[in-house]
Amino acid sequence: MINIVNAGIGNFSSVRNWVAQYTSGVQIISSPDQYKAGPVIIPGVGSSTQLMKNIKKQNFDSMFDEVNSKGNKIIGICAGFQVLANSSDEGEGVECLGYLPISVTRMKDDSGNFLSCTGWKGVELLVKGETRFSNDFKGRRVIRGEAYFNHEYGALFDKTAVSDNDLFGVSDNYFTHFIRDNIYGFQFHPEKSSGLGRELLRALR
Amino acid sequence: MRMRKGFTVCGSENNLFQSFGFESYRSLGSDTLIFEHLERHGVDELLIVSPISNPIYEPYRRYNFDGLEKMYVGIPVIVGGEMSDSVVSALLEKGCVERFMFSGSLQDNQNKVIDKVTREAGRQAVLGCLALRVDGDQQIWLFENSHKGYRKLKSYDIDRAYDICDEVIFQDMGSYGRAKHFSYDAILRVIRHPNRSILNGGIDPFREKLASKAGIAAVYYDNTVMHSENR
Repeated sequence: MINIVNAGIGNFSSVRNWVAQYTSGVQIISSPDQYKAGPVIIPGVGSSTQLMKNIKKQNFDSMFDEVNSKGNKIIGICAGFQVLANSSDEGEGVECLGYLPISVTRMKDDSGNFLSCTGWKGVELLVKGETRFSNDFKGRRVIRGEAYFNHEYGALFDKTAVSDNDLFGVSDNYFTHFIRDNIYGFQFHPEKSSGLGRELLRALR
Repeated sequence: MRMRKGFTVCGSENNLFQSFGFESYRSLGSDTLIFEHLERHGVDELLIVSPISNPIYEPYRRYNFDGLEKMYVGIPVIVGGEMSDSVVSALLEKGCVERFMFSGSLQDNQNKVIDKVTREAGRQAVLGCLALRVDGDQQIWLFENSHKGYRKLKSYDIDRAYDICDEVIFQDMGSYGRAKHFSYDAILRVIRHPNRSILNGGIDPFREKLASKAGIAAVYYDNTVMHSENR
């Protein structure tokens, strides 16, 4: 069963409708006791700080730890990706789940001006090594396409944060995706990225 | 990043409509039927407005999101029109919308609904809309929701919209859904941040090219190009 987290905010119905293109084995869960074995998706369209607060309030954080310890996939999208980081500066700031060794900050250009990233950008997801992701996409070397982004906060690229087996992409100095073992983080919205999004449904198996 | 090309429609109950200047409407059919065809036409995003100043039906019947809640739409969906606290709360609960557009609320000094969306959905989800009319002297007028009429556009209106919202739609009401084209020269003069600005109302391929050269974030087509009988 693919479990989509409804922590009170986010486009969880949009994500459910996207997943339903691939399998009918999908449910939206509003509390940890509704979880059924399988991957978990944390949707975006939210403030990462508010999302993380709701996750803690609804005790989803303990559930995620258990899901992670069993090696099930945890897939974060946009704000859902950002809560996989160590911390987020959005709003008053918050300590996050810490599954990925990155930090989320207000995006700025080289001159210190605030950036907003909304629209479609080409992304490349390399399929390499003996990873869960490469197993999902056996026979492929790269997945290319246009992805829909909508964010003002981002995970700043830090080369010391990545290890050999990590799969990641960077655009304008911010991570577009970061995949480590069973933790899949997408800054863009696969559920709103048309053809690329439908291709990435294979990552749910 | 390339300029986005969006499409804007009006919605009431479970149907979508094309609008002729928000004064008269023609049904496009059921929403689910339209959603199925959006990607095929290369639309990057969809804005659904439930018009309140000249509603499609009397009494006012806003767009019903039940279909959207259950259907896969592979592009982002933005909603606007009569964004009251209860409407926004219901939308946040349904979890089927990516961005929220505010027009009249932008003119309130302290708007709790916009604050709520910013706090819960994030500032990136907040779109502002300045509903404008350009007169024969190229003066720009802003539709004021509270008075249901136009007043001169002030710098403050533009600054405030950019300040509160991630992106701002400059909507040419005089050209929306009509044969007349977007008042490009007049409106471009007041745009402060092209990369955070969206043009709507009488957009055609020529204005689209101009906008792209000017670094505008997006253009939203309405029916003038889609339906040639309106020319």
